Amino acid sequence: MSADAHAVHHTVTGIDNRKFGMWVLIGSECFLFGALILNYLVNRDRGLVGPKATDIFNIDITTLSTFDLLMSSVAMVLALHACQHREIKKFRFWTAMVILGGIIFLGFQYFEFHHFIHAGLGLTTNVFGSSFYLLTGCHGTHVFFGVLWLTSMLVTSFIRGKEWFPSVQLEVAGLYWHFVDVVWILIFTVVYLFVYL
Amino acid sequence: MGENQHATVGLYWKFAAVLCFITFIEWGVFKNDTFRSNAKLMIPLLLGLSVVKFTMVCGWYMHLRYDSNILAKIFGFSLGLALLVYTIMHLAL
Amino acid sequence: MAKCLPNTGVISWITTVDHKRIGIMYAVSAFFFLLCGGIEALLMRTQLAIPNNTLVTAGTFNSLVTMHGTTMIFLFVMPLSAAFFNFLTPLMIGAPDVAFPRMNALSYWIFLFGGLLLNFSFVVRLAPDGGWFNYANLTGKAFSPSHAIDFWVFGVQILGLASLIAAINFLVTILNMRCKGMTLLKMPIFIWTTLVTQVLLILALPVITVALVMMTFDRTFGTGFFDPAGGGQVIMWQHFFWIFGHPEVYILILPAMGIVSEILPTFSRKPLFGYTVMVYSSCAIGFLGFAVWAHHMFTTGLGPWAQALFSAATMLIAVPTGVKIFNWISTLWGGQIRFTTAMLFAMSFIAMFTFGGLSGVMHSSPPIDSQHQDTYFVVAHFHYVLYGGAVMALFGGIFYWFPKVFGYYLHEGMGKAQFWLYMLGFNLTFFPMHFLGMQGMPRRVFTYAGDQGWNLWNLVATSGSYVTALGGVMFVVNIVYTMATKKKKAPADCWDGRTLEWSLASPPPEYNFAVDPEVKNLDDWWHQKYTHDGRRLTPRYQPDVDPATKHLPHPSFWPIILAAGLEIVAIGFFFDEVGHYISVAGLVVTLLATYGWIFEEA
Repeated sequence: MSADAHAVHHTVTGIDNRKFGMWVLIGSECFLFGALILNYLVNRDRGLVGPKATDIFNIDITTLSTFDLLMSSVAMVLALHACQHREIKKFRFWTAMVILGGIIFLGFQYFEFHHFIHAGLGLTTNVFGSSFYLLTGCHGTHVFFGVLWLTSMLVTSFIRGKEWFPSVQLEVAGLYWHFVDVVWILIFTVVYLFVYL
Repeated sequence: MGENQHATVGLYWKFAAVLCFITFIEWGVFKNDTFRSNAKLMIPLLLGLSVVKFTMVCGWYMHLRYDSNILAKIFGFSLGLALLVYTIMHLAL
Repeated sequence: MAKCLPNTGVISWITTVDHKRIGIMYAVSAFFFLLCGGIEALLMRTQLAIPNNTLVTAGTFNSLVTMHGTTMIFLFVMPLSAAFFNFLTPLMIGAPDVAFPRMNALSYWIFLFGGLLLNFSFVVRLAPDGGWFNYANLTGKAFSPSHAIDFWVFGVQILGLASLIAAINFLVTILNMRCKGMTLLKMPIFIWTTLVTQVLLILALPVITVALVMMTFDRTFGTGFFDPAGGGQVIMWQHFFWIFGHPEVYILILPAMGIVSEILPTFSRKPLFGYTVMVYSSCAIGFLGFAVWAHHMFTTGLGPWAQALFSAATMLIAVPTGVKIFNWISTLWGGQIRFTTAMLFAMSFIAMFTFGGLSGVMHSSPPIDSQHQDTYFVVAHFHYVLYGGAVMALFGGIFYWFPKVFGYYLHEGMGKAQFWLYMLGFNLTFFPMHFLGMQGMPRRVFTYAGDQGWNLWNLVATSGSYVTALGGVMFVVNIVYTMATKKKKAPADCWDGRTLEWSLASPPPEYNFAVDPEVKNLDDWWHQKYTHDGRRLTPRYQPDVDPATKHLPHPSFWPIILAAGLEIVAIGFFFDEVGHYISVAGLVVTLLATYGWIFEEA
C-alpha cells in the first residue's frame, strides 16, 4: 500500500486518518455488540424447549479460550512494537503468534458449538440458543476477519521483504484486534460467568 | 510514533501476567461456592474485574493512555451512550 | 493500473474518487428515486381521492405506502444530503478531498446498488408491503412468506452499510482535515450539522443492522427472535428499530437545518444569529435524539414510568429546536433581504418546520398520542417536518449551490414558480390531514367508506399532490433549460457568500485549493471581503495553477466492483438452492476487490 505518502499528510489532531477511522468504527461497534449482548440477556431465560445455558456451558474450556485471546492481544502489541522498531524477525514472529491465537480461539468456538449442537442446542432450537449463537457467531466472525487481515499482512511481509514495516497499518489492525478481545472480555463475564445469576 | 516511551515490552509482559491472573481469579470465583450463592457479591466483583481488564487493554494495549484524548473521548462517548441506551431499553422491556 | 484510466466519459465517472463528482452522482440518483417516490405518492393520493376507489388493490397500496416511505427517506433525502456533504465538506473546511476518497466512491456504489435492489422488487411484482418500519411479526415468514419483505430487509441493510462507511469518512475528514486556523468553532454551521449527523449515523446504524440480521435469521434460517411462540418478542423489533429510527429522523433534518443556516445569512447580509448556541443546540438535539425513541411506542403498553420519561425527554428536545427557530428568525431580523429562490425555500423551512414541530410536540404527550397514533394526524406531522422542512431546505440548497457546482445559475423565474407550486401543493395536501386525523381517519388504508365525513379533505389533499407534481415538472424543465442554454454564467462568488467555497471558481478545479487556505475568523471569506464597518476589501481568490502540479488520488474501479460483490451476496438470499453459491461468489468478489484495492497505488 502506498500509504506512506498519506502518512506524511498533516492532520489536525496529529493522528493518522486510518487510525482515527478505526477508532470511529470501534465506537460504532459498541452499539453493534451492545445490541447483541442486550438481546442475549433478554432472551437467555426465554427458551421454552431444549437445553438452557446452565445445562451446557463449560467454564473451564471458555476460560482457556479467554486466556488464549488475551495472550493473542499481548502478541499483537509485541508485533507492533517490533514493527515500530524495525525488527523484522520479531515483527513476523509475533504477528504469526496473533494469527495462531486467533485460530486457536476459533477452534475453541468450533469445539464449543459442536458440543452444544450435540447436546441439543441448534440455531433454531430456542431463542436462548439463537441469541447465543448470534452474539458469539458475530464475535467469531470478527475474529475470523482479523485472522484473515493479519495473515494477509504476514504474507505481504514475505512478499515485500525485510524493509517493509507497515507500522500505521499494523497499529490499525491491532486496534481492531484488541477491540475484538475487549468485546470477548465482556461476553465472557456477562454470558458465561453470569450464567447462574 | 515516539509515544511508546512509556510502554515498554517489559510493561506489556507484566500486563499480560496480570490479565492472566485476573482471568484465573474470575474462573476461581465462578467455581467457588461462597461466591456462587451470593449474587450481590459476585456480580460487582466479576464486573469490576472485567472493567479492570477492559481498562488495561484499552489504555495500554490500545494506547489510549498515550494518544491524543480525542480518541478516548470518541470511545468513551460511544461506550457511555450505548450503555445508557441499552440500559434504558432493558428497563423499558 | 489506475493511472491509465481515462478522465472523461462514462468510465471516468465509474472510477472517480473526486468528492465533487461523487456528490453530483448522489444528487442525480436521489432525484431519480424522488421520481419513483413521487409516482408512488401520486398513485396513493389518486386512489384516496374518492371513497371506495378501485385504482389499486389493497396489496398494491400496501406496497406503495411501504416503498414511498422507504424511498423518500433512504433513497431521496439521505442521498441528497450526502450529495451536499460530499460536494461541500472539503471545500468548506479548506481541504483537498475527503479522508478516504475510494471509500467515498464505495459508499456511493453500495447505495446505488442497494436502491436498485429495493426497486427491483417492483419488476418481479414483489414490492415490500410491511411498511417502511417493517414491524415484526407481520413481516415474519408466517405472515409474509414471499420474498417481498426480503427486498426491504436486504435493501435497507445494504443502504445502511453505505451510510455507515460514508459517515466514518466524513467524521474523520471534518475532525482531521480542516485547514489552518479553522478551529471547531470557526467551522461553517453546515459542517457542524454534518458532523452531528455523522455521529448519529455511526451510532444508530449498528442497531438496525442487528435488527435486520435478526429478521433475516428469522425469515431465512427459522430462528424465532420475534416469534412469541418460541419465546421471542415482537416488541424487540420495535425497540431496536426505533433506537435507530428516531436518530434517523434527526439525520434527515440536521443537514437541512445546516443548509438553511447557510442560506439565510447570505441573503440577509447578516451573520447567523447565535452561531455558538446553534452549535450547542445541534449537539443537544443529536444527543437527546437517542433518548426519545419509545415515543413511537406509546400505545404498546410500556407502563407509566417509561411513558412519562420518554414523554419528558421528547418535550425536552423541543427546547434546542425552538432555540434554532428563534435564531433563524433573528438572523433575518434587520437584514437586507434578497428574495432569491434559495432564500424562499429556506424561509419556508422555518415556517413549515415549526408547524411540524408543533404537531410533533402535541403527540409527545402519551394521552394525546393515543388519539393521534395511526391516524392521519401523524402523517401530517412528519410530512410537515420532512417535506415542508427537509425537502424544502434541500431544494434551497440546490438553488444556492447549483451555480457553484455547474458554473451556471438556475433560472430564477422557474425556480420561484416551482417554489410556489410546492408551497401550495404541499399545504393543500398535508394541512387537511390534521383534520382527517382528528376525524379519525386511520393511516395506511387503501380506501375508506363515503359516509365518514372524510371525502372533502381527501379530495383536497389529492389535488395538492398534482400541484406538487407540476412543481416537480417545473424543476426538471429548469434543470434541462439551464444545462442546455447555459445562459447565466456564475462567477466564483455567486451570491456574495460567507464561506470558503465561494473563493473558488465555479465549478471548482479538481484539486480544490491551489493554495491551502488559512482562516482567522468564522465566516472568514466574508471577513476577507468586508471590514467590520462594511467597507469593501480585495479578497484573495484562489489562483489558477497547473493541475499537474497537484497530487490527486487516482481513479479506481475497485469501489464499484467491491460494491457489486456485496450486492451479489445479498442476491444469493433470494434463491433457494443455488443461493448459497451466489452468496459465496459474492464474498469472493468482495474479497478479491478488497485485495485489489489494498495493493493498488493510491
